[in-house]
Amino acid sequence: MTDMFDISGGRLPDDLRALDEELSALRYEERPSFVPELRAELARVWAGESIRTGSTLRRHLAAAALAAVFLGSASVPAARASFVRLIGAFTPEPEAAQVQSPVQPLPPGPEAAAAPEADVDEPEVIAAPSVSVEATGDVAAPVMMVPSPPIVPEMLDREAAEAMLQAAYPESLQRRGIGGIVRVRMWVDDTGRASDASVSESSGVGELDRIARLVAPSFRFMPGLQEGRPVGTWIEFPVLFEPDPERVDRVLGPVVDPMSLPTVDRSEWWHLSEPLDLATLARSPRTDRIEANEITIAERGLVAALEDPSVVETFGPAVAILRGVAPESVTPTEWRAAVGAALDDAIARGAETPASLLALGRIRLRQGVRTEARGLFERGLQIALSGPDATGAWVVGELHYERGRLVQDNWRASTGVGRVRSEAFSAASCAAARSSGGAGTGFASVERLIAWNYLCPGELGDVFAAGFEPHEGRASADLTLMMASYRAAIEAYPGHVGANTDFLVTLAGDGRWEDVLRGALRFTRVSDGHPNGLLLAGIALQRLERSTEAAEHFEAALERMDPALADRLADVGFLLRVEDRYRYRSLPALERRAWEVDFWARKDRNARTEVNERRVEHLSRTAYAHLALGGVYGDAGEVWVRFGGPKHVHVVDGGSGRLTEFWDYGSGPDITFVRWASGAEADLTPEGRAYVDDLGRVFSPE
Amino acid sequence: MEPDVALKGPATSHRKREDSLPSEFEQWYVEYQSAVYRYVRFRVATREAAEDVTSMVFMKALRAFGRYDRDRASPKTWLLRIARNAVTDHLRSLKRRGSLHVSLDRIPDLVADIPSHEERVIKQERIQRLLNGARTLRKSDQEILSLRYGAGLENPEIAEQLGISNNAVAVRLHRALKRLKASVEAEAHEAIDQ
Repeated sequence: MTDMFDISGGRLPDDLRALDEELSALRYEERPSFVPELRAELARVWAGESIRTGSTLRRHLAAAALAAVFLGSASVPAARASFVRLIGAFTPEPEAAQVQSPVQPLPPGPEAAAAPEADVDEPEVIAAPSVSVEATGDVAAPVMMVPSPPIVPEMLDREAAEAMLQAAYPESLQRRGIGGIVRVRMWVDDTGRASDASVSESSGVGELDRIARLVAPSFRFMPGLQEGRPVGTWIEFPVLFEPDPERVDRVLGPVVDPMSLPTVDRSEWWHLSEPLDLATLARSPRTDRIEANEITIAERGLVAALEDPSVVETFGPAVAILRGVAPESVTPTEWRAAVGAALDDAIARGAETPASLLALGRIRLRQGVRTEARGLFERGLQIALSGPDATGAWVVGELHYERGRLVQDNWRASTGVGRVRSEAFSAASCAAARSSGGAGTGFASVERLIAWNYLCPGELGDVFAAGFEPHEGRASADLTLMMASYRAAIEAYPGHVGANTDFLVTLAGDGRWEDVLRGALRFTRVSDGHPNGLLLAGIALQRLERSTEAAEHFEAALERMDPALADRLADVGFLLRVEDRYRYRSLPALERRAWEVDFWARKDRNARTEVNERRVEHLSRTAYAHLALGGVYGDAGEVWVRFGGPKHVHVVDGGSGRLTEFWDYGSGPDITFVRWASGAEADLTPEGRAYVDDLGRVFSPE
Repeated sequence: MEPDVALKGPATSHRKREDSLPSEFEQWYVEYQSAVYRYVRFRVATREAAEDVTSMVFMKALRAFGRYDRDRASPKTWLLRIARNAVTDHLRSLKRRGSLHVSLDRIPDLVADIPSHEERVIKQERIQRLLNGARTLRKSDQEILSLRYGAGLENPEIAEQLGISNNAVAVRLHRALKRLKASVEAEAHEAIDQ
């Protein structure tokens, strides 16, 4: 890449040549579905251009026909229940009353000017004290004050506008049950022509925002009037995209509250309201047995895809291929390359099956190709759910689950994440923290926030309250899709351990303890007592102040799990002084158990009750740390076990894919962690570690 | 990446059909979508913004398709010209909203041929520094770097795009790289000082 600089006999110096090569090697990985999505959008708009030249009736028919074409329906529905609606009223923007062209940069926009919101339920025109107007035919006219309220632009054909939006509402989103409200802001000039549309409030779904913004300028208006003269006006209005529940694809999940429980009722013993009979519950979960049957079906699917069945003999067993995990006897990298090539070949021959796509997707995940992996899982689901029911529930459940995990990574990277505006510091003062790092960007650096946290914690709380600005992300859409995926996995395969666990842990994070309990009881029943189900039931019962039942469920879980894990969950080391902790953990297992009995007897808050509430709470904390925080012995697990859950968590984007979490316990400094954006495990920052250790020294855990 | 679209009809047909794009436009889309996207992506902070702006570019191009004059510019040049304006509009709108400094932290879509996860993480940090550095350059520097390393244009194409000579392109690229290097080094020193 150096010839381009070979001018006038000059050569690029070595240091710049290296930079040139580095930049030349960069490339962006486009989202694979973006290219066809945009192409479809363009086609819709192109068709819409034709439509607008016809009558209203023709427009409506064509919109429905177009929808059918692009949505892949076999016939044009008489009336689509899926719903796009312009809701509320057109509200003129309260700008400075000046003559302005929409193409000129504006003074503070509606975001800064606290624009009045249209009431969604009861549309009402809100009279603005003044509007930004464009003098008819003269952009460069002098500034003038507009004394009286204007008449806002009036939409000429609202039905046609809705039909246009409806035709542009992608099938892919409807099938995934994704909708939302977009607030659009745009300029309507003195001839009624709309332009400069922008999204003033996102739906949280980029595609819906884009559609609303792209289609809105095609709407037709009567211009706004000012003292009888047509004037240009900024308007703002909400657009509601609401998918039709009947259109939602089983592959992609139903339209439901993302937090609602799966509707699994295929088992005759599926009685949600009845408590578990722990005495008769099987001692070992039967999930493995079900999987063994299902895996046989999956193996058949795998072999059917491979041109050379000996691949399974060479690189198998089949279950290893299905899980994408190399057997211990081979080099994993080479194994993945060889098996991946054989499975890829199946796709090239058009012989792929859901099982082969599951296996290849998992291999690709381990090779770091997440986007391709997700495409493979979704392709597997499409084949599985569109063909004869021969795939097997386990493969379908696994495909849903793997897709859900990928979405969960995205969700973790964006949920609750934001930054703190630098100006928020101006109202607070912290003499000891002089750093102004990050001021040049308009946002506080993580270093500055951490410094304030440990030097002036009270003031930092004010700064967070005044200046925390969440990212505009896809968190809510990702949450919906993630929970829909897990729910679909559970509905396909009710005993799916990962999907049940992740689904219920997410509900627990939202404090929905009744739902967690119901879901955990289902999960425990269908898996004949999987420890995760019992732990989740125990956590929910403890939070619902049913300590006796919680204790029974925890004990049942500890009996059924791997002894080493049970040991970790029962561990009380974090409740001891550091010097005692080491001694305690060095004790032989039997002595430790005896010591714990004594320890808890000393801590029983209420000796008159049957159980030791403090111990139940401890088990609830260790169980949650195990299920949700990456383990009991990790930093986040330690803090959770010692101090419980924080009152509030601020997550600050620190750059380089790392997030800094501020766990606020209501008094004193927050405890600070750092974690990779998509990961669940958080490590204490050095300051956080020092603070936590100090707390251990200052306050006796006993 | 091979776009998942099919070419339909002769390249000269501009007739509107409800189930397709004009065939010539479709061909442009297949051939130049990637260059447009990558140019845009080089200049904006997030994948979502890049998708938005790229969509806007092709929407505008589609609407103006009937007015396209091939004697004045090749389709690629024309599309990239629209893209440059769209990026300018986008950045201006960010400025209006007071969020010109958009984080470049989330760059999972940036890839390089790095085998291991660890190396990839290190590489991504380096990429982030490069892009942060590029963001501090003057607009003309950002423009030429984006055309070169985003859209992947050769010197003559950049010259056509900017209306300058090949030699001027080489000189400006050289200077832009030099300033980028200085900016990245300054940022690295600042980080060490902090």
